[in-house]
Amino acid sequence: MQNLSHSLLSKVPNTLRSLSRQTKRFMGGGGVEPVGVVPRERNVKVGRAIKETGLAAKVAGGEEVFSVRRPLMPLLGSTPVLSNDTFIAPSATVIGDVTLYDYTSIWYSSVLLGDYNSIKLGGMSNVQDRCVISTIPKLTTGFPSTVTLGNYVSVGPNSVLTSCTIGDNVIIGEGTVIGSGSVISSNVILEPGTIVPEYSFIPGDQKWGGNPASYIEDLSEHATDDIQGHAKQVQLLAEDHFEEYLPYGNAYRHLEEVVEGEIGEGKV
Amino acid sequence: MPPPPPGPTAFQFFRHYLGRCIRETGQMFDRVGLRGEAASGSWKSNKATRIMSSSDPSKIDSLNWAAHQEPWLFDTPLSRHRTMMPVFRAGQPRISTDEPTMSVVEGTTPFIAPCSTLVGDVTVHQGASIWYGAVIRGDTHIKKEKIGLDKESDEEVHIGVVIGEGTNVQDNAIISGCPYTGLGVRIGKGVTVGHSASIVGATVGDNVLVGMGSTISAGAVVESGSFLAAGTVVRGGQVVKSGELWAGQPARKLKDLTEKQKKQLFYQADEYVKLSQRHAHTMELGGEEDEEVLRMNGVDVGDVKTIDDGKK
Repeated sequence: MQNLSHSLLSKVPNTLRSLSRQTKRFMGGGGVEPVGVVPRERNVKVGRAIKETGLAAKVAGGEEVFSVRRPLMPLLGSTPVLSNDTFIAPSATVIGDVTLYDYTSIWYSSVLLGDYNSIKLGGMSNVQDRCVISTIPKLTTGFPSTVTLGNYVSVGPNSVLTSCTIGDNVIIGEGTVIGSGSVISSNVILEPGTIVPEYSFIPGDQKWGGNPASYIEDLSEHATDDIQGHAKQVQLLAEDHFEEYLPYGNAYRHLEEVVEGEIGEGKV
Repeated sequence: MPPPPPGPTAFQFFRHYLGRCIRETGQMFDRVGLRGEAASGSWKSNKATRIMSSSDPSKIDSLNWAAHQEPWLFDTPLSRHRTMMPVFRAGQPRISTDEPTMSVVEGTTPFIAPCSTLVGDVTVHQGASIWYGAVIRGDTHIKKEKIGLDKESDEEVHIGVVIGEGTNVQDNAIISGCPYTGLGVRIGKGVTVGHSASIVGATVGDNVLVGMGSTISAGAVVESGSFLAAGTVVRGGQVVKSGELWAGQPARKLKDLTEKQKKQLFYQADEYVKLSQRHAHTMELGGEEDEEVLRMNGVDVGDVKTIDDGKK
């Protein structure tokens, strides 16, 4: 009992802090709220405050050791939408308003963050390892700050994309940064390490590269087929990985094993 | 280049897919069972929750995770990430047992951080270290004729990724075979791959320093004893010669390295071998030296040991 009271006492400041923070947020103390989204935000906040307080009370006795990060996470009421053949690596993170069409693949450790606005990936597109795709609240041009990727788009590893529009049949080399508000037309190849500045436009059927991005050459007639072939190859690889995972996670069985071990040793 | 391992046989294919069918069916039954259990309200008697209602509160440790979860246990948000993951067609990550040739490496073990990802045919040699968040993928395949093995057949082989001894792959780095061309990655001994660097389908020699955020594209070759500055982008087909310093985007030669600078290339990798050993020991919870460190930080060592035992 002494142990519990000790650990409870040590958690009290945390709980209080969380409570006060939630109350402050709920009362609208932290900054100006955007107009259109107030009712939903407020509902979410109330729910969150109750949930967090309950959780704080429940975990007062100890701490979590299991990683509870999820590849798919709803945010402010919008849940990622995906098809049956989408491969999402277990270490990738897809959050909020994200739509993934058929045969798309999200590779290891990449993050798709659809918080301010939506993200859409067209069919047969892939986002390779450790990419970040995110949105900003508002574009100065007045266009919606969504991220839209067309069909057959391959985003190379380590790339960062913010609020940009990309057409069909595009290869984005590794380590490319595409600034917000950029528009990239169809049939484009971006060299590895390209930096596309904000609000720039790249016309179709061309190869661009460098920092800042500049024109390199025109693409041949067969380039479109090659780009589509590349996207298909990545999709075939993704299928190999897709097969390695069962439809549902088995991690809870591991938790049960741990608990059984505890019981077996007579500690409970 | 060593010959690539043979692909799976027809029998192995059959066994793999049969096993997969059985596992999926079993999981289906498991889920039905859990649903039934939850509907009848008996999920409260689940072992994990029983610990929560245990009379001795000192036993309520980290396992009370189960208490604030939904009754649908199969919907658990527990992470499915695995550090080393096999891909059926490509093979599985393995740690080489070859005798080390570098003096620093002797008596060490490879350090592989728990949140890094090794997928497919990846070979890690002795004394190498894979740091936090790194992604290494050896799952690509290439036609045999392209690497001059068998010009007649249309068969595809896997060339995976090889990380040489004493090499360190630092945090958030990406090493992967090129998914378009199918080229694998060979990294020599004592190489330092900096933070967030990405090497895709390229060959890197011994004692190279790849700077932070550098990119080496498919088909590029970086020869032994060279230095890539931070943010260098080496395009496919470029060759970085031995003893040179390259920088920029696209990469170009800046100057030749002096004798003193060449020695520093060795120093960096050696230090990382030593540092990785300290991390490797800390990861094995319950070591004598580490218990002291944990106590100093106010962690109850008894709890840590219990969890460790439970996993076995």
